Amino acid sequence: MNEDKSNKDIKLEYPIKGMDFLAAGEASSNIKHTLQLIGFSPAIIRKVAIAAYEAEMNIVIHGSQGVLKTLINPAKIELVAEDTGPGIPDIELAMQEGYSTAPDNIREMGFGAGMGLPNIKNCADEFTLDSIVNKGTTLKVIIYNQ
Amino acid sequence: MSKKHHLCDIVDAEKCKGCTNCVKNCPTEAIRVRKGTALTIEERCINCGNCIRTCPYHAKIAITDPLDLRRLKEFKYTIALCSPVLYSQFHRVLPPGKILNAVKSLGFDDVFQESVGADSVTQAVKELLKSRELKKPVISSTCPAVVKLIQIRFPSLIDNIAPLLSPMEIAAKLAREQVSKHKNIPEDQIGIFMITPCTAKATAIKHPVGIDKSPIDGAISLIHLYGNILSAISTVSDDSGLAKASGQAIGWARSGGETIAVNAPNYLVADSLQNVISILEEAEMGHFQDVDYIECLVCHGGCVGGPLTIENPFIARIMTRKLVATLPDTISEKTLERVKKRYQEGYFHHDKPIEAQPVMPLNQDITKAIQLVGRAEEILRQLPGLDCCSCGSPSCRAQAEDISRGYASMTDCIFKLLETIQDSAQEMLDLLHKERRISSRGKEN
Repeated sequence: MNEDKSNKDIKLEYPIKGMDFLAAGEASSNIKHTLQLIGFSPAIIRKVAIAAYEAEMNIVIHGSQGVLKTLINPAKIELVAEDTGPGIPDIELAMQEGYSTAPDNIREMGFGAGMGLPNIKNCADEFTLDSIVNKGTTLKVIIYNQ
Repeated sequence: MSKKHHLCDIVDAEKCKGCTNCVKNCPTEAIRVRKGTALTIEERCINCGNCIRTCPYHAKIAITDPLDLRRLKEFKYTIALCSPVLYSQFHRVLPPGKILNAVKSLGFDDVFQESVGADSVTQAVKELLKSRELKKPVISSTCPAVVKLIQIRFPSLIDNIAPLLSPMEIAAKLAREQVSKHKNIPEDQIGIFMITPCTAKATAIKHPVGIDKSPIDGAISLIHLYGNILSAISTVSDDSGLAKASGQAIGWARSGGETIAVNAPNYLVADSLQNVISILEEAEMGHFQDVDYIECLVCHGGCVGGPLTIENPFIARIMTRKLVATLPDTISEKTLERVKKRYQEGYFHHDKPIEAQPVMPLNQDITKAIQLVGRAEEILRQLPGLDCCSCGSPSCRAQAEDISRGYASMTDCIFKLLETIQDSAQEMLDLLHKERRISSRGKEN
């Protein structure tokens, strides 16, 4: 985990491994703890925590390797989730509630209900999703402190 | 930060060795050892009583009313309100009427069952769930430690808490009204004392949530009164008229009992603090929107695992189950109608909203807090990460946050202190060598 030297912002960076269910959820849990220490409102913390958790789980389930970066300042919280996974062939379809490409064994564990990306979008003030098939996906979410 | 909350326990500084057992076992990281004594950060304490349970020197004491029952004299008429946990503490199933009569014989004018309140709350929760006025999942307000935990750590779930008084509070309200009416005694001259297995309830009496003043006047620790009850039991008869509560209501003494009574279609039950925290974490993520009702209790096995109990909670569970099987399942139709009417009148509801009590922020000013968090992260990287607790903080992370806030210093860490000593020893040595070199050069000249 690294963090910026400047006083205004906090940068957190968590490497995330695909299929690592042992550590899954730790990054978003740490992000939430940090936001609580700073004293953001419960509503903002909840939005960021949900977005961070779903983004983290997406990398665990679909991405082979990735990183979750967080930039925090008094005005906004920015989450960037990058992975080198299979990529998303049809982003519009992936954004539909209930659509999932998670394999059966993952669904049996209660994950991959097809709600991850729609949930993230619901929490986000700004949402961008870029993906190249067989290369990876970058998700960027901004939540303003208002 | 709220000034209203006060602790339900104190530290006996004579007995406290500063051993950090309580520090490590505190689920909200509310305790620090400073200058050899355990200190509690009041705002963070949820009154779960874990510190009382884990202190090997019995230096942590629950603050309840004194054993000599001297406060009873303040009232014209006194009522003992008995937790259903009491019935499970005697190795064998005894009729509640006998146990209640034994308590009464210790100097009370009357005795009531807390479970009579649970019978009412059961119906109130059913009505509340039917009304759909709350968003799912509705979280039970029965365990005061859970309510407090939500106030300080999960404020976004406050709106999910059932805005209902607890069985203890309802039972006290009913007892006071009944006695006042039938014995013609003014309500303020009736003293109601809760015989409790629970530290959080003792605190909830002094500082209630959702109402301005608790309908209960004092708390007496079950474990303190146990010896007296035990000696009285063989001398009293079974007064079955004292035992009015249904079997289902008495079942609330163990985790899952409340859920069985409320009978929600889709429910979740969690007991013991770590489990409760993990369920609330998930609820906060929005995972349980299809769950109607969540029963969370911070003690292992539910109230039978309370910090002021005598019996092993697993045995107490069995005793509760056996007793429940001997009692009628539910209340009469007539009582049921009365409860429903009272629900419509708002008899069971809180008077005021539950407030969030955020205790986490390092500073009120967000820009300053961000700087302090940045500093804490930097300090954390310098600490050994052993979470050894020797500094008196529960973990290196908590210590880093304490240092950043200015509540602790780097050399509280024995490893950092050792480094500092080694460094200064090396400096001294270097200085000595230098001095020798200079003085020997002086001799040569």
